[in-house]
Amino acid sequence: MTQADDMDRFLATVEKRAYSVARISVGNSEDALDIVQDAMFALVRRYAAKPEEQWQPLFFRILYNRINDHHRRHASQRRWFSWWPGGGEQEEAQSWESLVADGPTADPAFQTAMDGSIDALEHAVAGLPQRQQEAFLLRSVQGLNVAETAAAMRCSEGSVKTHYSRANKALREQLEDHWT
Amino acid sequence: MNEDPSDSDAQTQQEAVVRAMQARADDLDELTASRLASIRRSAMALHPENQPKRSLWWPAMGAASAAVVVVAVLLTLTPEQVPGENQWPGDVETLVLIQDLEVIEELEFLAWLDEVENGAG
Repeated sequence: MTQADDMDRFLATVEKRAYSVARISVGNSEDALDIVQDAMFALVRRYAAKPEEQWQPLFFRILYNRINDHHRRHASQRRWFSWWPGGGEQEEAQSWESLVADGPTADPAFQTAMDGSIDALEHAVAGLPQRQQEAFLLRSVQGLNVAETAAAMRCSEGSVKTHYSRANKALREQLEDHWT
Repeated sequence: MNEDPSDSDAQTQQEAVVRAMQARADDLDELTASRLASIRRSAMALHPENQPKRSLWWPAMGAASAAVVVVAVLLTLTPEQVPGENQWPGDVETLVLIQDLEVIEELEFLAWLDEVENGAG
């Protein structure tokens, strides 16, 4: 089996969950597909020669960089449009996290899908602070262990545990009705 | 720091949530799954192993052509035009020629001087 076959197999195993991580985070199916595409292209182009065990943390690092770029672009666009008359004056005071939380509601397809507790959970996850969201999605959706999540987030395992724990606490508080 | 919830009910609920999220992630609609597979194929087309092999024929042809041109230029040059070691004798010859011209001019001057002196005498 060639290295290209190995990488194809690796991407096939992570693509669906990577897409889900991106969709929950940005709240838009098309943007999520673009983000997954960018991450795959970057991994294959730049890191194909790296050892296979490094692909996973690299891929999710790239994926989250793309997700963060997306959030920054949207936050920036919102700031620019806020200068126009009626261009969301009330949004100026919103935090970055709350802008992210608004993401899913902007997508009609996402709104249609919001019909159960798992949808409510995804919506709540989208509203978490960036690092908590990252830790939660990589640990729960992607199924990475603490060490793998730490490698992908480029932080200590202790930080991952803290972010993950806080994310769970925040989600429990927000979703008490669904969680019990 | 604080680890996950200590109470086992919360732990069980959390595991259920994780399972539900993973199940949803894995159970994508066909269209999205197909688009993801297409994206993966496009990405794999960029893999170095899947890139067309570069032929060594063209660089070799280029090098051979350049060598032929250099040889042809060297063969068409006359020995005096060939730069390098022949440059030194050429310079010496020029110097000798200049010195010869000075001697001739000196002889002509002496001849003229003779004529002037004879004329005056």
